[in-house]
Amino acid sequence: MSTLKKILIVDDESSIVLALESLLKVNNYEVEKSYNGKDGLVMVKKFKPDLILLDVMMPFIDGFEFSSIIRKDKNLRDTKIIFLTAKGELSDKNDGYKKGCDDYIVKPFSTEDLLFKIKYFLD
Amino acid sequence: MIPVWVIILICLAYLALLFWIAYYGDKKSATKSIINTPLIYALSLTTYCTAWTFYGSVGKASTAGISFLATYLGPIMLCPLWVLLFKKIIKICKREKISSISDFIATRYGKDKFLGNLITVMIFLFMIPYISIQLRAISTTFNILIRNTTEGAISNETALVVVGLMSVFIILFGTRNQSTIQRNEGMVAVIAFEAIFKLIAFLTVSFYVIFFIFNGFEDIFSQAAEQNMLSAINDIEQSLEGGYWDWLMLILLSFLVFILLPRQFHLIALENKDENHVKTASWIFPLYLFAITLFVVPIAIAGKLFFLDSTFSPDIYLLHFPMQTGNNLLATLVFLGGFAAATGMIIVETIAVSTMLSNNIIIPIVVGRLKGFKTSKIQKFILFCKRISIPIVLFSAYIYMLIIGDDYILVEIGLISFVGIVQLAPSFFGGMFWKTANKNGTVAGLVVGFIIWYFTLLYPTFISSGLIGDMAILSEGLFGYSALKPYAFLGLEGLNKISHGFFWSIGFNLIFYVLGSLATLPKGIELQQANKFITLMDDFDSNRFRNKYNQIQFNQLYELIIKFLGAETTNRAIKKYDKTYKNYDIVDIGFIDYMENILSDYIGNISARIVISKLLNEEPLSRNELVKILEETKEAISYSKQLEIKSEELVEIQKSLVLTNKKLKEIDNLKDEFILTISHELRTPITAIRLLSEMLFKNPNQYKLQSTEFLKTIVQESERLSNLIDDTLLHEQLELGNIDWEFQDCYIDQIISNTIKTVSPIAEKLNLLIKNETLEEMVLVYADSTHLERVFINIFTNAIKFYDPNKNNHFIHITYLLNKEDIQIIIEDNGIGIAKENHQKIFNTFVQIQDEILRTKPKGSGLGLSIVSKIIQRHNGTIAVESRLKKYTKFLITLPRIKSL
Repeated sequence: MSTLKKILIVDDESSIVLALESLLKVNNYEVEKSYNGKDGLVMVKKFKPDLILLDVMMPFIDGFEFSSIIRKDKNLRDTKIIFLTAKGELSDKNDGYKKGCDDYIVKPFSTEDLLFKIKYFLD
Repeated sequence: MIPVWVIILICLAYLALLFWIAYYGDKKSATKSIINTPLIYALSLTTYCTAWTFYGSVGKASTAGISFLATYLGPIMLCPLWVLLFKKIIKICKREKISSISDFIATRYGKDKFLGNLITVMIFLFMIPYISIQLRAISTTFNILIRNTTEGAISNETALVVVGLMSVFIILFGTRNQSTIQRNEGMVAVIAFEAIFKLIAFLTVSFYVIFFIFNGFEDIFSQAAEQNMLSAINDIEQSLEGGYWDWLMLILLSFLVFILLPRQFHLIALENKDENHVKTASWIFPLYLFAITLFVVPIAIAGKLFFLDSTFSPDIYLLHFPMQTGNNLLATLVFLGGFAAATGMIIVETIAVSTMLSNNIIIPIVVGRLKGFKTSKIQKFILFCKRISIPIVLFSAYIYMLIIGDDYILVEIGLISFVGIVQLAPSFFGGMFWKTANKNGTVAGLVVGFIIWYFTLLYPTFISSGLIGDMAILSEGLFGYSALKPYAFLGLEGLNKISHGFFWSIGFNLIFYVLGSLATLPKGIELQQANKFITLMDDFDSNRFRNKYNQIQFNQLYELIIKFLGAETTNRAIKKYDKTYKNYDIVDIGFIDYMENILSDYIGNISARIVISKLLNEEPLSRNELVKILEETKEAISYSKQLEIKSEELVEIQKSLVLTNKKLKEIDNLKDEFILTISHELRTPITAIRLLSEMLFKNPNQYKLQSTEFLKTIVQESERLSNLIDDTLLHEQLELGNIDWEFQDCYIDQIISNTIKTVSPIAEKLNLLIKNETLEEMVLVYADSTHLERVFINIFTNAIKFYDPNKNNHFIHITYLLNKEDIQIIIEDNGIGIAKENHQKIFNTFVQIQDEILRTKPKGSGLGLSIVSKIIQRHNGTIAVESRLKKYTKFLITLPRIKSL
């Protein structure tokens, strides 16, 4: 059995984490989760995900800061980041790109859209 | 001996030469000016050396020694300042179209007609005696020359002939057109010629005396030494009564007079062709003075030696030398030299004074009565006025000479005139350098100076000549007050009469000028003129007005301005200007400038200039142009109108506007943040609901095991959504004050026990104990029970929500503290606690403290405590929090009590 692609979910909303975790596992991904940026950073190093679904608005370490930290790490150069953002504002989009996200998806989104984006990056 | 008729012929030839020079100079002025050189400019300024210098300096040197030099030291010391001072004066005169010194001062102080008249009259009084002296000099010397008598018998006919000839000459060459400004090139050429002529005559006779009558300088001085004469001539301090103080005063006096004498001002400023001539002239002129005074002392000594036993005045030594030695031809040259010096002065002084007289007094009076006449006729009349004022000046001088026959008084009054003229100094110089100076100060200074001048100089002269009053006044003082002695005013003694009078008159003049200017406020036009005189802005485009300004009628300008300012403002502005115009009056440059300034206050500089330029070019403004300018400047109009009326108020309003704006911006930012957060808060549960329901809907089989959990989450998130909406609406209503409060007297324990009933089902699930102390008495509060209950529910649910799972038993403990005026309700729990730094934050909107223990986000709107605090506020109560992390949380709510019934 070929190794499954690994996805890390970082979001402080437990209901969203619940939904995403179930959805991705059913779609044959290996999934880990963190409820805040701090835990997320620890988990990234341990788990070495291929892709991170990252909430933007989080306390302590927000998504932008999180991704900029990740981008400095050479070992994680190939890790893709998709922002889950509640705000569709342009300025946030730009910020996100600057800090090195590969794509973003605006809440609320459909399962189809999310899976499509993930597939695009991981296949 | 040369026969008398030859002498007369020579004099006539000389006069003919003068006429020819004047004619030639005028003719050339149209093509190639012959006077446009710095040399001619410098020579013309030597009109300062009159017959008084020519004859009088020798006379003065033989009686008062070296002191004759004081009169020349002043102007020489002034020379380094010429470039700075003269250029400024010349610029101002050209720009402001100044026609005389009285015009200069009047223009500076708001173009004031009264001031112009006052100065004209004063100058007329000062200058008539001065011109008389020159006439007297000519007639005296002529008589000596012709009759060969030692004492010139008074010959009125000679003076009369001179007056007649001069009148014709000046009318021909001094009033060539009716323009207010005289630029008379022929006349300047004559003046320059006479300057050279008088110097040559003086030097020739000096050589004759020194080398032909005597054997050179050595001979004169050794003879003088034998006679013991030298010390009297050489001692500087003894040469004047007041010693060095007199010297200082006289030098200062001549320094000022050199510019202020009307003829000097005329030549310096009005006849100047090119500003750059000033620089060269400033060293040529002192050289000339040096040349003409160099031999004065030797000649004076020679005269004393040669005419040892004669009784005639030393003033005419110069003429007597050649006559006594039988050299008639040289005597004629001397006479003509003196004649040149005298006529030069008479010509320019007459032009200057008559210009003032006609422009300021005669023309306004005469033309005022010629309303119905044609323009060409009025112009003829104006020219006539100018011409007639010349003989008026000359004949006044002649008549004055007849009345004051005495030589002594005549000379005395000449010097007194000097002091009179100097009264113009404060306003003249002050006007060019001191912005605050105004008309009131000027008039006060002039009038007071004039009175002191009259009292200390003219009045005592009249007394001592027996014309008026009582000799006792000189020794006892006026009305017997010793402080009012004319020659020892306020007890100042020891000075020469002239320097004494000069000191006091100019001193008081200056004080009144300064105090008057400081104590009163200038008119608008005065300020405007002050700016023009002092700052000399280079961008002032004087040529703009030059060609057309004569043609602008008042009504043209008025109709134009009224379009912009409206009738009321326009009239107010015109009223402020101190000249009045009627409908078809032609307005002067100053008025146009003034109106442009006013206009620019309303529509801006550039638009104002465009509007006025249009008028000057006589192109009427088209309707479109007008509308365009109006539109462009509409904002400026309303803004500046407000500014004008309520500028101070506006500043205040602006301040508060800035503040309000800042506040609004802050509120706006908060609002933005609020909406942003709300949308974020709304999107999150929706996202969860959507994902979960989609998953269940599309692939129900795959999530069979989790379906209960999913559905439960969906329900929770839906509840969260509706709570959020409720809270947001409530929060918004509280913020806006849109709530219908239902206040009534309530028992506090009832409210709390109701609340406990509501939350106890949830509490029981967690085994959380709610312990409510019993109140000792029934406490009434004035409250809206529904909202107050919401407060307690919120606090209880928070306590439940944030229970500490690491502890075995959980509780909420409610206690009360009863005071006279209020009741404090203390709600304590043993939950996870709140870190100290967050104690205040929790009452803000959308603040949710991250759950350190659960490491997930608390489920709530983040509005709860903000709502709580607002409700408590509305009840005139307070809410505070005490807490320690992982230990306890205490909410302290204080509410005012009302007395039990």
